[in-house]
Amino acid sequence: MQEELSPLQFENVSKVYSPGSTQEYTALSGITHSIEKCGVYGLIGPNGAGKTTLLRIISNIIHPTSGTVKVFGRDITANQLDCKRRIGFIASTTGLYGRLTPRETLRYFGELFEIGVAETDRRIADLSATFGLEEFLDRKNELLSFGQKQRVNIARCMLHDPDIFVFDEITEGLDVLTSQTVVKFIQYLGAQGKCVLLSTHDMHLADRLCSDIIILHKGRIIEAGGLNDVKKKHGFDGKNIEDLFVSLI
Amino acid sequence: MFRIDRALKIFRQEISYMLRDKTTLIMMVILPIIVYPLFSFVSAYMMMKSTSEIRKSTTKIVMCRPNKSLEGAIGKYFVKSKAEIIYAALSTDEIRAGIISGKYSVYLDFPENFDSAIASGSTCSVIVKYDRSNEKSGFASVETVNAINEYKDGLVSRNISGTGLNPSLFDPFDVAGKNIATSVQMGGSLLAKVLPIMIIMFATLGSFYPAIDVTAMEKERGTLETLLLAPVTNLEIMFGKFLAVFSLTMFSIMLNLISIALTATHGILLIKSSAAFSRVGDFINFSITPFTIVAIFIFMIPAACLMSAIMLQVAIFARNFKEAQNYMTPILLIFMLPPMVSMLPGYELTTATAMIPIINLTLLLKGMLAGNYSVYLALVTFAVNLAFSAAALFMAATAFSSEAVLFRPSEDLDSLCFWRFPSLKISQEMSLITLFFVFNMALLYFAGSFLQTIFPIKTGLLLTEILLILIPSIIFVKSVYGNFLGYIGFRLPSAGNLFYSVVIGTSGFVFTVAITALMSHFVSPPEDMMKELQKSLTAGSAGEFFVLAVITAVLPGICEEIMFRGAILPVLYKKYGRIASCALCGLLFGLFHLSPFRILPTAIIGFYLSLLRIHTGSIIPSMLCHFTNNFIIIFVSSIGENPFFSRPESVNATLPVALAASLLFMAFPFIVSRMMKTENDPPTI
Repeated sequence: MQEELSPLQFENVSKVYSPGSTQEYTALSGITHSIEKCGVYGLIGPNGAGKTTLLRIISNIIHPTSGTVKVFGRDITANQLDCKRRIGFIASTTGLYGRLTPRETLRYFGELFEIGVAETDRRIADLSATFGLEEFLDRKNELLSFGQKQRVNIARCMLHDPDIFVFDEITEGLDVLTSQTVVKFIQYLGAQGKCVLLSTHDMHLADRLCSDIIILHKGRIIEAGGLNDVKKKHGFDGKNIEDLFVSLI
Repeated sequence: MFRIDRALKIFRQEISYMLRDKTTLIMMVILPIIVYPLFSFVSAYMMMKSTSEIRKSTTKIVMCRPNKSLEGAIGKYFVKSKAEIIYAALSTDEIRAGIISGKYSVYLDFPENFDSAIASGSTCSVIVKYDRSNEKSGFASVETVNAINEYKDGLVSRNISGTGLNPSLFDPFDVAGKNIATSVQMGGSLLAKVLPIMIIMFATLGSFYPAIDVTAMEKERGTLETLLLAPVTNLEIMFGKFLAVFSLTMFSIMLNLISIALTATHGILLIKSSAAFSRVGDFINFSITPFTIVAIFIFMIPAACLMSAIMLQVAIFARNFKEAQNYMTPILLIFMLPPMVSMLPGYELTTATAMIPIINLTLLLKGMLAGNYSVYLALVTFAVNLAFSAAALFMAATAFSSEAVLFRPSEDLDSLCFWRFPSLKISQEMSLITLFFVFNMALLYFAGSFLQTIFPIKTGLLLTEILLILIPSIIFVKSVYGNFLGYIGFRLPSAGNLFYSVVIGTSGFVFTVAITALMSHFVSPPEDMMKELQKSLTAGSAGEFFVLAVITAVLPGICEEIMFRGAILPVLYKKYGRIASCALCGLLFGLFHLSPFRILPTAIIGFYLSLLRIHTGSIIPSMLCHFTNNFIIIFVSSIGENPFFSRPESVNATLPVALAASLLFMAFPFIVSRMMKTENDPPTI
């Protein structure tokens, strides 16, 4: 049944920050797009294009000024809590409670997502094994390295087994090794048939990981489609995605 | 949909999370517990130490001239402690300086013929000069007076024994004061003043850090964003956090009260046994019944609720810890300063004071600790604080559901840096003008009342007008708009408009007198206040009248007009148009007079002055009109009884005056309505 519905649909989504004030700023204007099937989607665009705004709207942290977003056919504003359960979000800004340990963090979120204690503990064991959290599972988050924290964050967003993963610049500031873990993780999610939407500045990463790309510029989608189709369309077949990007904006 | 179980999950997590923080633990658990024992031990120790030190130290007595008999008396009295005698004739200033520097303790002044006067049977006096503000000098004066009295008593009995008279003739009875207050009452009255402040202070501190920890700190760490990803509503998050802050505050209050109770029962006994001086024992001796402790705890509930809700609401605006501290400090002061009223004599819990949150609680606690309070007022206090906390909670909920608050952009107070903008938007101008008005109002309230107490009333008024009204207005207009005279509308009006201003001023005066008279049927200012005001506005001579006219008519005409019709009105006009801006400007003008009895009349005056400014396109007519109004007030008070200051029925007016007044009164609406036409209003004035 899930396969019949598009994972994500945007209808005329706009976002205006501080409307009516001197700081008024339009981050998104009239985004209309539909992600029809699961896969790894790259959201690329220069700084200030509206990537973070769009991803935060999908994750229900902020709400669009106008327009609707649907997750598997359900309006996210009307079904906020249900939609939150189907989405796993990580950004470079999502933090961890410093005075909690990774285990306590995951248990807290397990409780908030109403997974149940036994099930939560089972999942924590699984995720720890997958992402190598065992060695620091009971150390306080504030004592962890950046890479370790990011792995805890990944576990946190996997915990409630969402269908859509939203990643905002998550490889930023990571060392090669951890970055590699994240890349493998995203490839794994893709192989599992999950829907992954990731924003990045790293064109090589997008080239490697994404089946489709969405190019955002000044709050609008200027190009979207299968990576190779888009390249072909603009005469960049077999070339670097970076050249395509520069030529488009 | 709000689900309490989800809110409780957040509550549990927040509580355990906050208790892992050292600062929170110190502020909420350790400090409230140790403060009372520490406070009583330290104060008792200091008092004992200072008393015994004074006793041990040498008392330096200055005598204006040598005198063997007095010296002998002092020498005899000060056997245990040392006394040192110096001879020097000093002025009072020299003595004071000597006492402050520690060179002398007391000064003895007596006539040159002291010995011969005593011998001849005539009386003379010995004056012991000391400085009461100096503990050592005060102590020495008591000892010195005792020494001399002892000498005097000896002299009396020696004189009597020669005559064969019964000594009881000169000392028919003893008189002695005996303190019958129990130590509970004495401690109660002193502690009744201090404890409410301490209890409320620790409650405030108890909610301060937790409130920042669950809001601004979460933003700083990025965990708020993480939390918002979970399937819980913003309202549930807010409520969970509120419950956590509230519970910790109540926990802190509980620890505080337990500490008070234990200090009262156990700590004091310890001190008492070691306290050599009963004075010290009395000072710190107090007892509080368990009932009082429980009652205080219950009445602190709505207050803690109010504190937590307000703190949470303010802290959620901040983006990081530093910002939160900046925003919260004024809130902290708002909670910690009003309780100081419990120190002031004469402030009791009444139906009126019970309406003011936090202050009502302070007064209630004061009453509870002193053992006298009314249950009715206690319930009113409880209800009032509960109502306020419900309102604060509602506002906190609103703040938590606002994206603009949770993800606040960096520079939303940009309008304050007005010099960066080539031209200001009206919203920026409005925030600047609001700030200007609030600033000036505060200046008038604090600095104005200060000026009027340290200077005579007329000088005070003069300085207020110039320093607190005119100069800030000039600085404001100059810095924001540059062209001062152009902006305030200082341009020559037509002769007709000038005449018109005088007519409005006169007719407006009559109208406001009538309004004041009407108002006095419902609310009337205290008689004393009116008499005082009338006295200050009445001139006895022509010269005095001239001075009075300058201070109360010319200066307000210039200074207040520049502030209200010059600086404030143009912005209001741009935003709200003619009628609304005049009404608003009038209201601000009324508020600015800082008296509930004068708001309505001054607001009416402010309204037509504003209309006049817009209608004539110049500030000069409104200055003239303002002058006319004030001039008539002082003129009328100087020639007779001012209708402003007396009850309407006691005013005697001759027929022509009454007729003219009625005409002017009836003419007023017509005169004003002429100016109300709003068609063809220019966009700015």
